[in-house]
Amino acid sequence: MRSKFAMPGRLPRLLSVFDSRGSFHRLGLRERLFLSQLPLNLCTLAAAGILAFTSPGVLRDPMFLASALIIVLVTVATLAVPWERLPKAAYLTLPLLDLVAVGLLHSANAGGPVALAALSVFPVFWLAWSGMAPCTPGPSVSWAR
Amino acid sequence: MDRPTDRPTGRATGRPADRATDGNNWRGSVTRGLLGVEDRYQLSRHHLLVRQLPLLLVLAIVIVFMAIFYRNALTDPLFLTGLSIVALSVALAVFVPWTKFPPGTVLLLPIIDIMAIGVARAGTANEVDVLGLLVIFPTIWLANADKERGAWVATVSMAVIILAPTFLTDMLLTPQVWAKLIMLPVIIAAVGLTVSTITQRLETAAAQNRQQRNLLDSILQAIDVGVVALDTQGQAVVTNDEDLATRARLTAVAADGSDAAPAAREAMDAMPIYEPDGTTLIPFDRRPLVRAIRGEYFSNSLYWDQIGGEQVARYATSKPVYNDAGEVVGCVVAFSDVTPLMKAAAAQSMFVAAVSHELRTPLTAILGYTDLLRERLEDDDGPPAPELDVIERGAHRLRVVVEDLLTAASATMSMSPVRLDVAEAIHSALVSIRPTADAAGITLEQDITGPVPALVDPERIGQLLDNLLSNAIKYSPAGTTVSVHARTDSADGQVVVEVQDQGRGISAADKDLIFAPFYRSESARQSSIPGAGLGLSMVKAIAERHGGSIRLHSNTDRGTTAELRLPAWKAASTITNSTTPSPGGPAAAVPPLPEP
Repeated sequence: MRSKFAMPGRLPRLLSVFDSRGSFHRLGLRERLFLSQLPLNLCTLAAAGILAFTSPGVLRDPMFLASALIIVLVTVATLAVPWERLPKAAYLTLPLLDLVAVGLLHSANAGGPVALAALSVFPVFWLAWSGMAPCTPGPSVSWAR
Repeated sequence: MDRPTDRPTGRATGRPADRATDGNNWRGSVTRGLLGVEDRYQLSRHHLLVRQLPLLLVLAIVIVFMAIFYRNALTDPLFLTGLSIVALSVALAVFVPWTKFPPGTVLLLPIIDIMAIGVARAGTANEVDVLGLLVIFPTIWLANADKERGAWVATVSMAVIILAPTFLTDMLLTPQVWAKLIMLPVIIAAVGLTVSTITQRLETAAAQNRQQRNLLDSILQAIDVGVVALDTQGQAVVTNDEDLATRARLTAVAADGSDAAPAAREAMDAMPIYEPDGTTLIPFDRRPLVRAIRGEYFSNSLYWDQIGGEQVARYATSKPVYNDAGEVVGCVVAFSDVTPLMKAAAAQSMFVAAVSHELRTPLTAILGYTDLLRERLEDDDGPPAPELDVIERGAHRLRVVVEDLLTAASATMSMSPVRLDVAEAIHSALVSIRPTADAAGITLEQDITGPVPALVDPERIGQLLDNLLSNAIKYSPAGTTVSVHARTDSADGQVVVEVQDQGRGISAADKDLIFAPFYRSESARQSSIPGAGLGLSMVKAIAERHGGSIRLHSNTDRGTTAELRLPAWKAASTITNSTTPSPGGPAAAVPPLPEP
């Protein structure tokens, strides 16, 4: 039996969002959440690639591994959890978890470039366009440090 | 078709919620400015300042922090130069008449901002390296206004401001420095692309929205039907008729029971509407808009309205509006003007009545003189004249048709409902039709346990029952049973009469048309059953004039059941039963049906 989350059928639909005529809102909630998570994933991947060359030690840091684990779990959760059956605010835990992950990432690379903290803009964007987050999540990054 | 002149067809009004955000409030303009959804390049001073606002605010906070923790960095000449360039950019935003330049020129401002941040950062990076992050704000501006190109311009500018100081100062290029150099531009590129994708999506959605709205506007203006869409509070959301919107507003206020309700109720009462008979006032609770706001859905409910002293017949239809989750979020009520149709129908009835009357007079003469002729022939012992029988049979049939026509025409005319025991009426109808039933070999049954008081016109109900019964007998084979049930429906308090036969039934194709005047089903026409096709249309007209209904439940195997619903008589009814022609109060027993 074909899995409900089989990617081959979904990929073209997900990619259609980059076509200006496609509609983000025509996608299912889970696909939208996956797309919202995508920029952070790609940037983290790029950052990990750069760090692998410049300071490979960071990649073995437990805090970096924890952060990577959180990001992978959040990505899986976007597609695997039936969000449409949960309360509307439930999925906002995902960007909040992302913020924790970015904080850990930043701490793992403490003393390195400040740039990794900038990754927090992606969960912030996500919270902002969900229209349901009244407070700025800035403090959570500093707590995680 | 004459449309009432005082029902202006206005433009569809916007959602009240839209108007609130469209308003010139501070939050709305900041939101629109930052999102830039409405216009690609907004060039007003106000707007350009709003665009600069996030950068300026964050910069101010950073300066305060630096003043406390990194006092040395504050006096760095490069940092001060950077600040002056930011001030220059703000001055440019305010004093340059951007409208006179090509629209893209204004994007120089975010690029200048990035350069200013670069210079300020170069002066402070060794002590506190946070200023680089501020590039996010000009990046959002660029990507928002110029999409992917803006994102790339921001990325390249970022790379320049990071790389330039490194090469100018001959910094040692360790891997850590490289990471620093590459990481920020990569993130800026990702931010820029994210923002450009989001804004593109928002702009497309907004454009589609506008197009939908324009389409809706055009449709509403093109149609000859007054339409008003109401939310669950009864507020008009979209309409093509300001008069309707006003009425909807009044109705909502009158129904909500607030302090303003009595005044609104009075205003509503000043605009009375009437039942299909044209004289009975429709009470507030039964007004179409009140019913719609209450959540009732109906179609083609007929009423008469007074517009400028003229009577206007309207059909009102209400349908629910759902949101994506399938919840009801309001309703659409449509009002169509059917005055010409109603006038034509009335004219047709009068014509039929007049013609039938004219036909009946000579028919009486033909029948009378045929009789005289037969008598004279018999008196003279002349030869038998079978021709006279043919004339007489033909004339009799013609008279039945003419009388049907007259009844059909009068069914839409005067009516005076009184208290009547329907059981009694059924009983006398059964007695009078028994000879016909016996001749056709059909058994009649009645299943009525007690008096069934209704508020009806006795004469019309007699016609109605005669028609239903003779129909049932006409279309049933010999040896079957026609049974009549009557009861008061405990659910809605209406009187229900059911006439059930075991005849040929009605095909699905005929079911919709069978109540139309002069319609005869295919099978009825092919068989030799006589009739003009007026019976059921008359039954329907009479039932509806009483505020009742008639429905046929049919199955081509098991015959037909006609379900007639009539308004019940209630003790509280204002109409007295002094004019009731049929005797018997609620306690009067129904006499048993005499056995044949």
